[in-house]
Amino acid sequence: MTLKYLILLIIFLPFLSFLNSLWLNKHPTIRERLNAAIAVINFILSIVAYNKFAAGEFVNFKFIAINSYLYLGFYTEKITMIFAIMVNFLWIISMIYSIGYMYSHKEKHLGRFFAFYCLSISFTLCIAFSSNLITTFLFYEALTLATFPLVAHKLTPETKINVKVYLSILIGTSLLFFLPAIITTLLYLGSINYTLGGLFIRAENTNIYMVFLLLLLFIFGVAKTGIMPVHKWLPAAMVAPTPVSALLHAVAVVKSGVFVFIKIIIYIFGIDYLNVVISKMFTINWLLVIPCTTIILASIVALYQDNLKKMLAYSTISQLSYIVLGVLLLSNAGIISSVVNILAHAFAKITLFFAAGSIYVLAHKDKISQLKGIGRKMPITMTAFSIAALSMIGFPLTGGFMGKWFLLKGIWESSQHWVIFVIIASTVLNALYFLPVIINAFFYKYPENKDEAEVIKKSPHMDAAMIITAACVLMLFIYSSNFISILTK
Amino acid sequence: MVLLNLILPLLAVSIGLFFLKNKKYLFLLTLTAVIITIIFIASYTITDGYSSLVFLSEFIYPLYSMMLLFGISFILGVAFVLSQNRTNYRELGIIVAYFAFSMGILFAEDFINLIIYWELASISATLIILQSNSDRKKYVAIKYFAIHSLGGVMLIAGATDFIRVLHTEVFPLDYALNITNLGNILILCGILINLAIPPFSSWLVDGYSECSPNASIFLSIFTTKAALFVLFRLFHGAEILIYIGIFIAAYGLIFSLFESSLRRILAMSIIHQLGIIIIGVSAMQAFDGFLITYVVVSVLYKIIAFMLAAILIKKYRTDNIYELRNSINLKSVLGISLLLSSFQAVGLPLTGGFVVKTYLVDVVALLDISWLYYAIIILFAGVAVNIGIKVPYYLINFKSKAKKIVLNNSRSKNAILITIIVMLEAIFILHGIQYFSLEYTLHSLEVLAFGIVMFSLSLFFINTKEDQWRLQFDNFKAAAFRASSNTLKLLASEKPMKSIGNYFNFYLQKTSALIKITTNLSMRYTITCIMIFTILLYLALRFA
Repeated sequence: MTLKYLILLIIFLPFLSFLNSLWLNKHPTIRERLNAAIAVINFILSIVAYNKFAAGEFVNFKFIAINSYLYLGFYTEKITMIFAIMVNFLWIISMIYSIGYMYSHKEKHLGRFFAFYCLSISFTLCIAFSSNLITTFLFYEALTLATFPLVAHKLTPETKINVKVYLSILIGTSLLFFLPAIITTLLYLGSINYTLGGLFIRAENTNIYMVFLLLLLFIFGVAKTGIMPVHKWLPAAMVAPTPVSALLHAVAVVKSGVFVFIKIIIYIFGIDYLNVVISKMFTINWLLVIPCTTIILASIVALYQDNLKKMLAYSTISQLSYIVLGVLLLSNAGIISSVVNILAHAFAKITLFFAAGSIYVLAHKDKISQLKGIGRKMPITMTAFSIAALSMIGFPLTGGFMGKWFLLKGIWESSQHWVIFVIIASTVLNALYFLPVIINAFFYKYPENKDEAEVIKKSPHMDAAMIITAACVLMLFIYSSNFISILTK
Repeated sequence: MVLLNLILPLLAVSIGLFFLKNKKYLFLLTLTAVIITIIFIASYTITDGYSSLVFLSEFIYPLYSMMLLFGISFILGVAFVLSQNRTNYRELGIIVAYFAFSMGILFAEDFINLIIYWELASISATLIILQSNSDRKKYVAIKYFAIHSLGGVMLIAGATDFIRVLHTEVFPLDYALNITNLGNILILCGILINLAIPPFSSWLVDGYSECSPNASIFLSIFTTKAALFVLFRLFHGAEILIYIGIFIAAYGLIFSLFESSLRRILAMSIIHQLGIIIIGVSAMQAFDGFLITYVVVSVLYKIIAFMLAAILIKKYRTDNIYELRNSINLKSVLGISLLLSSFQAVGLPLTGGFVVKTYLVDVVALLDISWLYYAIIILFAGVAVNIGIKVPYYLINFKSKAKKIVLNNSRSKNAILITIIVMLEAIFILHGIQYFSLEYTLHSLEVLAFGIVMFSLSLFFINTKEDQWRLQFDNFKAAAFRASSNTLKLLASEKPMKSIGNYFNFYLQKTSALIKITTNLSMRYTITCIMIFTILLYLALRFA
């Protein structure tokens, strides 16, 4: 099979399981087995595709071409292939987890839930493989719409308010900033294809202020990166069931947002060109102020959250800005740090959400202050949580350490020394908001209430998922050197 | 070598100690940990050809003597823990891991290893603190870990720059970093945070006084001394360390005068000692072992002191030296050893303290800074005040016969305990006799005189009984903390602008209250300090 058809299959198979879930609504066992099989096949296919890509194959193909620049196009690229493997792997694990979660919680409308879950994965992969801005934009919007039924799954009054925030911010920013930016680029340069080295370097007589304005439009237009002040959609999306928060709102959706951003910076603007623009305009790179304020402010907000999932959401916003920061450093080391951070954050954050979800479902607790002694009742869950939390802090022996290490390296290389202090402050803040949870869980006695007579159930599905992802967090550190050598080739 | 021979076996033991429940196995496992340590030290001794008795002399390989110090103090500490009536084996398990990681810091050859062991040591120390029964343990543990992660990330940030510039991860033993670029400054800051530089020193005082009495013996040894060793390696001869050291030592001296809890006094005096050693680091011409002797003496002293504190706390269930007044009989093992250690802290002739102090004075004289001699003499006098005079003054019953403290029910355990203490004292005295020289005797008498004057002044000025000062200081800290956390809450609230308006009036009232507290506090405090120091400076200049 050629690489082209492999890519098409990788994109299409999640869509197939979307259709499956709708058709087989009345046969849940068959539906879940089929979905799991498809997820496994998709993971294997993405590894095969990666091997083919690593052997030197390259594809770039188009559909529905309206004219020479408006078409649906897909192509392969190193970061995309790694991203696809990661998403497919986490898809399998979160399938296992969500089976445990949804049945323990006795959720209804499971067919709809699984259908849109798979659809979101499909769109995420489409964004990753897209070869021009129009394709990216279309699937970016489609992803927003596909996740909307998942956010609104519970259909309570609280959900309605949050869904409003979710849709208005995501669609609002993309229509107000992202689309105009794309159109301006198209009119300005006559092309919106992702090109190695950037499009702007070819253009003549570009106005640097105009370019800077365009860059700002892109930064705030891609609100899925969770940059402040357009971050409110992410905490709002936390009303969704936890598997959704875990895979989509901590990994797939936000990472695809970051991914779009990386592609725009590298392939539309071009790192070298942006460096010239920034050095002409300022003495220091003022663009970095945007992610830096997000890192600090989101961490401070997370410090005062009592709701565990909200706290994790703000932590996600803060950590995503690490990735944006890495890109905006405008250097190769920065880009590498971003990719390492994408992986490290994905595995750690999905573990944290899995743990939060299983605490909510099995012990019926969602506040940090209620978690006293929970570690003695749910040792696997809280151990996984602790490992992932240490990764968020950037503790050695976890993937988060590698992310922080490469980010710091990138910062030194681009000689933006003040950013170092932002990273230092953020590390301390991370420690301050994750440590109370761990200490509450492990070093206090579980309050035994005879009236409530709560029995904490067990779910092997959820435990297995958490063990795998927590192990991956540690593996990322151990095998980091192999991984880095792949990236730097 | 150290990973396979020492750290991994000890980690296995510590996991066993943490999870097993059968007491026989636990005891055997503890013995295994001790044996592993002994074998490691012995193998090192044989391969490197050092005899085990030379570690107190000045001109020996520093890594070797540090390792020996860590190993011996760990074994003595474990022996002390086993000699107690009830042993908390879970805590002991974490302590074994903590010891292993601290040894890792000593043996680290590159920055990545150093950082890994550095952070693991900090988290295991946090876990040790969390094993206590104190109500404040959560607060103290979070503070401990947060401050250490600040130091750790500074070290990481500096290390990335170091590796980028030099294209190597290995740092040789004798490599003096210059403090000119930001990366090296960050490394220095990271190390200094582990050495309890004052704005970040509360982790030490709170952590060592809130953990369980047995654990504080171990905590007082490893973290700070391992950091000192890294400082020796990387920043010997840096001139700025003179001022930093004086700052740290003065802070420890002043604040220990106001403390009333025994363990907090000891913790403050650790900070004080660290400051003095840091002054010495700036006088190091190369990475040699001369300061290690000072470290050894101060560590062994602290072990005895914390052991005594543990025994007293167990017996009387209190930490306050005013409540523990006259609790130790002079004619008992505890009384004599406390008295001997106080001689040691004052630096009387024929003790180990005398030797190392005179030696430090000698070496610092090489720096050729005229006022440094007086500064050092005053700081030594501070040591004499804290633990040389204040502690025995309150604790020892010199006159009537007090009741003997029954240490343990079992005789064999008592024998172990007494042996440990006698051994430690013997090391000091032997060292003192071996290197005694008459020409420095005047220094030590000077130090003693300063110490007595300072102590009597502090008795006169500070109303210790009511503990007023500490209460006010706590109020002040609480108010400052509330103000800052309220500001953060404003940023975190849903509608920041609206709540800023609401809080504005509230803040006006709070600020006026804060100013009142501050003025009241600082008036008494500064007057006391200024008086003591002017008199002392005057005396010092006259004596010279």
